[in-house]
Amino acid sequence: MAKHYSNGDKILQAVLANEKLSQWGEYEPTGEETISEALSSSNPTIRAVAMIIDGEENNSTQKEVYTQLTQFLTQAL
Amino acid sequence: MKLKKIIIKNFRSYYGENCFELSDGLTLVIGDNGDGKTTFFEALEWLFDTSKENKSESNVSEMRKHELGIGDSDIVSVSVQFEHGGEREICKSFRFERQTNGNILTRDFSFVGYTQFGSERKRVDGKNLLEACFDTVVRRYCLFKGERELNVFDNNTALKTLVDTFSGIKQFDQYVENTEWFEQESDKLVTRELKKDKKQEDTVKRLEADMSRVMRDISDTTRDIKTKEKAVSDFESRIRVLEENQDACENLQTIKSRIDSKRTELNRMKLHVDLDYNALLLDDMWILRSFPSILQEYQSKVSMLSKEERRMQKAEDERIAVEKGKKEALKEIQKLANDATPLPWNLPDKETMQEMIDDEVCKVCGRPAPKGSEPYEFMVRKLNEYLEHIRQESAAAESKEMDVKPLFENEYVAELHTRGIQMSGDVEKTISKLATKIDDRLQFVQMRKNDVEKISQELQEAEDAKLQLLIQNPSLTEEMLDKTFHDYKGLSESSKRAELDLKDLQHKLSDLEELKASIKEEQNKIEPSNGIVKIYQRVHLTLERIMKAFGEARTANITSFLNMLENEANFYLKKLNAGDFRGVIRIIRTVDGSARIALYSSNGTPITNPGGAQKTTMYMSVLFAISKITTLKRDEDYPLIFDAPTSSFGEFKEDVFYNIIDQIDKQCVIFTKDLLNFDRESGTRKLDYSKINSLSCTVYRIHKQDGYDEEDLSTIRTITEKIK
Repeated sequence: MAKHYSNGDKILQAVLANEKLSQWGEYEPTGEETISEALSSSNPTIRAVAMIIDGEENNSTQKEVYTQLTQFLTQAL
Repeated sequence: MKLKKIIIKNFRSYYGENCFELSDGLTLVIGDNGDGKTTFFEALEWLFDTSKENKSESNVSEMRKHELGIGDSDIVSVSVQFEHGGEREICKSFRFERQTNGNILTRDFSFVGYTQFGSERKRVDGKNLLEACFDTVVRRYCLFKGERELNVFDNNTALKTLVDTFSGIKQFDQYVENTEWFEQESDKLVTRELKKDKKQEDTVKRLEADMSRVMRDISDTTRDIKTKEKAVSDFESRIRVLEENQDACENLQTIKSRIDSKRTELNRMKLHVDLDYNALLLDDMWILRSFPSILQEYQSKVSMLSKEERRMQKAEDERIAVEKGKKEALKEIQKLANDATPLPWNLPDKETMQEMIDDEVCKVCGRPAPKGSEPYEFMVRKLNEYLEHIRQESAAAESKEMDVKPLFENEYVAELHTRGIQMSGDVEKTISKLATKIDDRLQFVQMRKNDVEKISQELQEAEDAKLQLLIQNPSLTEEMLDKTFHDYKGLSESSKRAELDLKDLQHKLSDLEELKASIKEEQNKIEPSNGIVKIYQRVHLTLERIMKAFGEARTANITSFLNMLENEANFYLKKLNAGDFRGVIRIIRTVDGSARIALYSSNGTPITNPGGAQKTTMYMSVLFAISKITTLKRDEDYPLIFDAPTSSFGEFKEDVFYNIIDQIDKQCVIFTKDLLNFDRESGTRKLDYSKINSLSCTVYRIHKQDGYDEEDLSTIRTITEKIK
């Protein structure tokens, strides 16, 4: 049975498929990424993208998402 | 979602309960103007309207209202049974009642839904069920009234709505906006931290100043581009509107030019036709036009008179000769016996003679002459001879007078003859030439009159053609078409200039972006001495790349959607235009972020003004494509419902269209007045069974019940009849 992807999952897959981003982030896009999996990814770029989408889906403000994102990246990079 | 059954009760002209069972493919509802097609469509629109509780009295059947007595009530309802993950039904209704004052009160609005769970039928909220199965956005792309509504890209937000609804990925814009903001914030942080680094301070400040200048330029250029894009977009829209009417404009100009030319020609011809006959008759002696024939008649009459005169003169001469002969003979008879010379006739005179008779005595010889005696009789005879002589003398005197007077005292006939001779010859020749000249002129005038008649007819035809053109374009006035024609050239030039300016600005922006990128690169290459700033810089770079990835993903998503839409639309365009020129559909993004549908020749030439049927099939192809994409994206199929989508089709195109749409695997309900033929005998339009029988679809015929009063709405009732 085909896996059902949410709108967020589809956005995640579309963004992660970007070649320049994957080179920068040093990951291999699979086209099957999901938000829930990406949020616990060990790759900071994948996780950062997932956090952006997740934040928007959870109605967080831009500032809240930015703060979480920079805190995470500062620690992860 | 598959529609199974539609039941309309007491909705406007649909008196009582009217049931329509729909097929999985095409269902045609055929009716003439005023038979209830649009009412049916509007009944569905009313049912699907979730924005308000509309229980307007105007939706109540006038016929049913008319029947209601005081206190009586009935229901208006529209319900649809459909399949959508099981059997479903929605029903909207309200009650109407006649009050004691005769007015109609509407009440008890309800919108309910029913879902079937096994054998159990569960009542649910109608609005919720409708939105769950057939939401507003999908409905927007399923119901179309008339040809004008078929263009789905009719507003600036249409593309975004379509992409958000059907591309599979929605709300990209918000993410792009967020990531841009994240990048700017982190960039500010990095710049601020780098400025604190003494080693890098100067470089950072220089780059910051450069960046600030470039950003200002970018901002200015972007603003200029937006202004210019708006101008180009406005020009495009206006030109598009003009192009849509271009045919009508050009036709009108051609017709008007023909009208002007005919009017000028007509006026010129009228100058030849309008003659001043008074001046011509007298000044130019046209009055003498018939002179030759009149002269001929005159001469003939004079000749006759002359002949008659001579005949009469001869008879008179003969009579005079006879009279003279008689006198001579009388003289011969009156001679005496002894040849003696008689006394003069006047001796004795009358008085003497009378006296002697009265006295009965001959006073010449002195002898008595008694009455009855011979001398007496002699005297009486002598007196009578005297009297006779006097009478004869008198008659002779009169006769003598007559002898002297000639029969024709004047020389009139001779004079007339002389006049005739005078008028003939050179005079006649000269005047005959005038007659020829007049004849030529009149012949010329008659020819011009024929021309005037012909030109007037042609002028009338041109005026009719103009009227026809304006009738065919009811939304356009003659002034608008004239203005359009004159605006088009100016707008095209302005549009071209604006496009060139826009390209220059875009190049400039591109250069500035490159400059910005190089400054950014230089900024990014700055080696901070502080470790945490290095991390900030790394975070910023990551956010910058994420931002770009979001932007590119959004663009790719739109491009992919439009490509898919274009491919699918062209698939249907090919089907709907089988055997006819169809062109290729292109969906072009406009500078204002929306899109427009255009038809191109496969060699890349735009078809600027496609015909009505071409345009309709183009828009319908896009609708079919959207519907197919909806099915793919949502794993659910939706019906397409059209009210009179083919009014610009010719008969042949209609036949092909229905045959093709009949074969497409898609539930469609079409309300149409096609497939009806005019029946001369009955004067009505009847179903064309030869065409209908060639279709496999379900067909309903709707028509007004016979015997209605044209002025009384309460006599109008739509009768529904399932044909097949």
